[in-house]
Amino acid sequence: MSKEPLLQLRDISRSDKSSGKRLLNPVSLDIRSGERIGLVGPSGSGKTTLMRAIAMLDRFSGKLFYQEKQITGDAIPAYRREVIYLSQRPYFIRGTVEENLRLPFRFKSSNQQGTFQSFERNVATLRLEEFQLPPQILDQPCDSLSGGEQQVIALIRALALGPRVLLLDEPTAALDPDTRDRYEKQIHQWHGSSNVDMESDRVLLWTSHDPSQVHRMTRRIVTLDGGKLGLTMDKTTNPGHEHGDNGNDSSTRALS
Amino acid sequence: MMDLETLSSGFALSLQARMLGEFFEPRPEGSISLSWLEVGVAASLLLVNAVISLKLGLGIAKRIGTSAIRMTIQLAILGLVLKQIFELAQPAPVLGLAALMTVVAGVSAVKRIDHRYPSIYRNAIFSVWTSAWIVTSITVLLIVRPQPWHSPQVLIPLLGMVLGNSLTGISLGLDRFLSELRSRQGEIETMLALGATRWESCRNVFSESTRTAMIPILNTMSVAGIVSIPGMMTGQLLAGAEPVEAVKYQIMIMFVIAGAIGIGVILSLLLTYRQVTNEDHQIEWEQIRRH
Repeated sequence: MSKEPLLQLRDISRSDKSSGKRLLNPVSLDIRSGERIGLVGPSGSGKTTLMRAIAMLDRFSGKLFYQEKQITGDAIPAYRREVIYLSQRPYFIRGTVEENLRLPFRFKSSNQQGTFQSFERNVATLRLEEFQLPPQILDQPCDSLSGGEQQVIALIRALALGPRVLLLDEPTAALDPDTRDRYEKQIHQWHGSSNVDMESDRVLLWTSHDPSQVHRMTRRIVTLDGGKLGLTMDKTTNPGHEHGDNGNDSSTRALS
Repeated sequence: MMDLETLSSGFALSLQARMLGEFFEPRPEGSISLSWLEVGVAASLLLVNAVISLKLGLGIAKRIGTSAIRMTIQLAILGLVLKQIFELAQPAPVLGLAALMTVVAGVSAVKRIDHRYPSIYRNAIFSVWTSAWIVTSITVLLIVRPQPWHSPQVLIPLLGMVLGNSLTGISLGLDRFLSELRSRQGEIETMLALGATRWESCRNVFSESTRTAMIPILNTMSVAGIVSIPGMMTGQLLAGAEPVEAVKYQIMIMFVIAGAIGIGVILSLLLTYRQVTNEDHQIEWEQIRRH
């Protein structure tokens, strides 16, 4: 179990260019394959900023390593396909659900090795079924869907790319309890953590204001407060590893 | 009764004609030179509009007044400057005036844009300059071929026409591009997050902006000669040109203008795209600010 961390964050910080305001104080964090991390903290504590930084959607200071490599320039689109950030509010291009599900397969990065190459309508139908949504929804325009349905479609669109890491920014805030349960089930299934015999190599980062959900969905909790990394603790071993560790002591991966 | 009425109206008309005749000298055959009084008659038409606006409280009377005065002063100065430069007929002052006109066009293109980014003036001036000068050079050196090449009578009005159209296109295109980027930020970022390159994420907005910028000239081209006779052709006809010659010139000018708009718009959009995105396939949102 001496695997190198999948993601290494080294002093990642970000300031607003115009006002100079610190959005995120330097964060160092190691994330290993198979981890499920709950990112908690009050609104405005930098959870979104940190997730966006990991997806390389903003310019930040500090270094980020993925599989021991720094990702820059034209390697970034393919990286973002593997490390997908799902924003709190889902967005779509004008058009039907199917057109939106097909969208990522039109990008150049879908021709790169190791990624799923095409959209399969029957796979999408199966996924919809798991959320008890009828296949006809594929032909509806996205802006006619409810907020909850949009959230589900956004997840299906992301899962179709077979990501290695999912960065979920309060994904179930707009969902009714039943849909939320199905959403959580889908995430567990994707992560593979419900399967005791098989070690998952996928990583989940999840933010939520609901402590019980964080408890259900994650095994390690990272606290952000005022743009600073606070406590990171592992729920199965003794909690209370201080920020700034090199990740070695937080490597005891939890398998339920 | 009928007779009396016709008689009296006929009398009134002839009286009017006689009164006008005291002001207006009869025009010599073939001349189209205007007196200032004749220009004044045209101005009174606008005055009527201003009065109506005041009476109805439309709130545009002041704008009508300032625009009219501005236009008069600007054109009067242009007339004086052109007179000087026409007499000089040296390349340097002609090109100097052309450069000045170009910079003013670039600046006024930006003035009409709501969302801006730090180097927008530089990019707009560069785009207007490149597009207008390439197109005008080709027109002057290969098509019109005046003697000498820098004849201000040809160069200045041609450049002016090209600049005016290019600047409108550039400001329409950039305004659309920047405001659409802003309003579709979520959509664009979602595409990036799903593996789009920066170009893939902006491509739709880019092509919509190009279309928006080209629509006015395409409309003008499609109704030219049916709904309206373009300004330049009207001028030539008034000046006594052969209709077929005037038409040929007008067709040439339309192509030239459309070409200049196309080059200017694409260039300014590409420069803007490069400016607000980076090589890490990110959009630098903080650069785009509402003015």
